[in-house]
Formats: sequence, C-alpha cells, structure tokens
Amino acid sequence: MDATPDFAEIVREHQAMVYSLALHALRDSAAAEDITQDVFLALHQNLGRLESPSHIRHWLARVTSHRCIDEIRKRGYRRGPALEEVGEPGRSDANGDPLLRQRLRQMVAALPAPARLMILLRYQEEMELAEIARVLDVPVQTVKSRLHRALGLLREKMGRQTAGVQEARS
Amino acid sequence: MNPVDPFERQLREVFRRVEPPPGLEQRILRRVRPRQPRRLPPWLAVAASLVLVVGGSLGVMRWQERQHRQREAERVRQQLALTLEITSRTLARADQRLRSIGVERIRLQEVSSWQEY
Repeated sequence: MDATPDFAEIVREHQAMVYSLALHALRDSAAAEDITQDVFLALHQNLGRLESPSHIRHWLARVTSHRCIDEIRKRGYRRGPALEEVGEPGRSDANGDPLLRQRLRQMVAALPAPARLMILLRYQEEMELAEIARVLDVPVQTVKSRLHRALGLLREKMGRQTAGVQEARS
Repeated sequence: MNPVDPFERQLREVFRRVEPPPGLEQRILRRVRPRQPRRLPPWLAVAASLVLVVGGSLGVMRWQERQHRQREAERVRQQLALTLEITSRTLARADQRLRSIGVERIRLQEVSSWQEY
C-alpha cells in the first residue's frame, strides 16, 4: 500500500498519542521517536486488516504499549531508583509544582513496566479499565488490582511530598 | 476515575499528551514510502526504443546488401569461369581442326608438286 493521504492523515491524528506514551514510559525522547516510527511502519503493513478508526486507535495503543514494555524489560530500564527508594522531598522542593511534577514522573517511571503503562493509558488516554485490559492482554481484575496498588503507593509518596512542600511554604 | 480527585487531576496534567518533535510525520512517511528509483521520462524511453529499432534495422539492411553483393560477385565469377572453359575448349577444337587442315594442305601441296613433276 502506498503512503496515501489516508495513511498520512492517520499518522497526523495519532502520532501524539503514540509518541507521548513512549516518552512518558521511557523518559527518553530518542527511544520514544524510534518506537513511534516502528509502530507506524507496522501499522502501514497491517492497515488492510484494521476495520475502523477506533480499531486503529486501539491497535496503536496496544502495539505501542507492548513495545514500551519490551523495551523497558530489555534494558532493565529504570529512570532513577525504584519507587520505594524515591526520596522524600526536602525543603528545596518547596520551590513549587514543577519539581513535584517532575518527582511524580520519576515515581511513575520507577514502577514496573505493566503498571507504568496502566497509569499512562488511564491518565494520558483516559481509558476505562476494560479497554486497558484489552490493550495489555491481561484480565480486568489484574488491571484493577495493579492500578490500585500503584496509585496507593504514588499517593502515599506524593502525599508526603505535598505535605513537605506545604510545610516549607508555611 | 474521579475527576475531582486532586491527585488524579495532577496525574492527568503531568501525563497529558505532548507535541511530537518537528518533522516526525515526514520521517515516518519517508520510511513507509522509500525513494523510488528514478525512471526515464516516457518520451526519453520511447526515443531510446526508436533509436534501437532504427539502428538495428539499418544494420540488418546493410548486412543483407553485403550478402547480395557477395552472391552476385560469386555468380559473375562462376559465369566467367564457365565462359573461359567454353572458350578454351572451343579454341582447342579449332586448333585441332586447323592442325588437321594444315596437314592435308601440305599433303595436297605435296601431291600437286608431285603432279607437276
């Protein structure tokens, strides 16, 4: 199939989703671009089998997520320490939200690969649990429990960090 | 997802979609559509074909002419050889006749000279 206007339109419509998922998962813009290009190349080869715009979106989210998980596992990919090891904010973090936001990104990047993608599919793409389960090929209950556990840990860490910031401000 | 939960709101803000790097779309399309080998413009392909056809035809015609001339030359050579052969035989016969006539005349002269005696 040629790179027809239809395919170019699909790229234009979905490249932000694919790139953002990869970037947030890997925290590496070069790796994110490589994955994005590979995913769309695979899409081009499989486009004849996809039946609708929603099918295309689902397919892209699925392939991107799996590529990210594979990449994370292959490299033993960690940006920063494991979640439990992420330090509490000190007084220096009282400079405000940008640091808290950065710390939140670090905490999510410290999660295990599947949990990381669950968080991203939930909060970047606003997917429901059932759709996340289909994208990641896991039972809905697995998504529910892992997401719940990850959010609990993140809240706990962020709660302590937020309290630390507020204390620094007061 | 609880839209009013501040923590979840914060997660949505932190992990919202980002703009892809400039030119990403073009890089993707270039990979999907590799550069095609340059093709001759149609008129050039037709002209090249015509040159080949005409050149080939001319070559064949010249070869045929040369063959024809060679055959003609051979035919003439054979005719000449035949003519020479015929002429040679004719001359040989004539010579023979003349020789035989020459002998009789001498004899006749001899006879007549005898008669004079």
